[in-house]
Amino acid sequence: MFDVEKIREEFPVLKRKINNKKLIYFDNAASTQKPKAVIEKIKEIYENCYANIHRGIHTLSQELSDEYENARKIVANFVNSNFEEIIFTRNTTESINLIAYSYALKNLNKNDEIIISVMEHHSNILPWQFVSKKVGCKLTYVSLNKDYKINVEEFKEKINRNTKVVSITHISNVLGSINDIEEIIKISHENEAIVIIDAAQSAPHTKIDVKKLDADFLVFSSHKMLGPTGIGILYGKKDILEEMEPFLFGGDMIKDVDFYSAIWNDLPWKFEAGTPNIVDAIAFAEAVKFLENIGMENIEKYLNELTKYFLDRFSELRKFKLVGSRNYKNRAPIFSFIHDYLKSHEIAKLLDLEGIAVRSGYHCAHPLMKYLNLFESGGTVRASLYLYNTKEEISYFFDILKKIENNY
Amino acid sequence: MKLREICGGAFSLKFDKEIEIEKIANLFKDYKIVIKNEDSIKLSKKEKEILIFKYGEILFYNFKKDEIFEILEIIKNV
Repeated sequence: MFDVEKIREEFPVLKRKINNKKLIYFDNAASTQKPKAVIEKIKEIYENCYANIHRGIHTLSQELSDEYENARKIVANFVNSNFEEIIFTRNTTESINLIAYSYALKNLNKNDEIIISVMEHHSNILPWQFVSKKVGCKLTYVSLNKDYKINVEEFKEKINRNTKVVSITHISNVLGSINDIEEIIKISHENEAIVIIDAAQSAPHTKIDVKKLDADFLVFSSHKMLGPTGIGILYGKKDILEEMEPFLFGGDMIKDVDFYSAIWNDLPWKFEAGTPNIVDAIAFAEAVKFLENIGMENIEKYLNELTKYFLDRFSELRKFKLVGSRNYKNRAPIFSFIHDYLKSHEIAKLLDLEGIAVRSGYHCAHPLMKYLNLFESGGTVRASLYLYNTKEEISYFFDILKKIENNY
Repeated sequence: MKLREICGGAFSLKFDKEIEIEKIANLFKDYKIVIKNEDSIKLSKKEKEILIFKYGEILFYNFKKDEIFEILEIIKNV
């Protein structure tokens, strides 16, 4: 049973007023709000049981080491991976950079190719531009089909035996499109390319099963799914991770160090040099537990209802244009739109005056904005919903958009 | 006054009080008024756009930082 009012009670910030209006938080694709369980976990650790982890003999260190590794177990279960295949990073960006540095730079040469799509976030473009320039290999983009999804037919034409890396987003952070990643993964593997899935927007919305997907790497961030900032996940297949060199070097990622050599630690610690973000990793596990208690299937179903309602209401507008699919079955509740006369920031500002938080601009996707001819006009307004949002909030949001239509 | 550079090639100039939108708009004599209501005035000249909000904020599009600083000096004296 999905009880949104009960869920909302767990998020203290939702009681806030902005510009004397009740806060409506529609900026979830940028970052989500945090439930009491996450906030209290952070407080509890710093107040009662904080210490550095691993190799400590004292009680606090051992207690917190167990909690940290238990957090990893919880995340591993959440995506159905093995324990040693989950590496804690800072965020999705760092996870992709780790793959670019530790896998791609070592395994690609000038005859190879990397395929990404035009809808990628900068964090899934810039590391590949870097690798491409560094090793002299080709970087290829796949465009979108009429449903604003990655064009699989074009992908089939572009992939070839020289393609070594395919790195694509599961759900677009701008368009909300859900890409056909199962098919893309299958085609990539048939061509012996490894696949990286950017799940930053999908892990909060849908059940992820890395074994079923068969992706080689899958990355996501805690802060977009109720957890703290500064903690991210890199899932990688064990055999690939074992072949990779560490990304960072320092404490905790070694078994032994000699004067001129070292033996790396086992997975996953080989990739976690230095004191990790202990507290936020544990708090992230609280966020995962919170989501699992509600049930990812229930969350997905509820978000689908909100998506349908949002799209239905959007069709009432005259001066606003949706940038993305109108098919609610085919998308997540991330909605980009533009106005006939007003710029994205102007709309966002007018919404903020009514207590509504949305994002405006390019959404870290300059190439997509250029591809859609939205760059010169200053990008889009983006309203992105999550499990604590309601139909009433959407209704109010459209009342305000209609008011803007009347005034501008 | 607080100036912020924001995503999308824009700048926000925020005041700590309401502003007289007509008075500010008059500073930009060679701009065309494209929208005018009691809360705001929108001006444009080629690719440049300015939206002046009565509550105390001005949004500038397609301006260079130097141009914004020049405008700031003029607004300060209003």
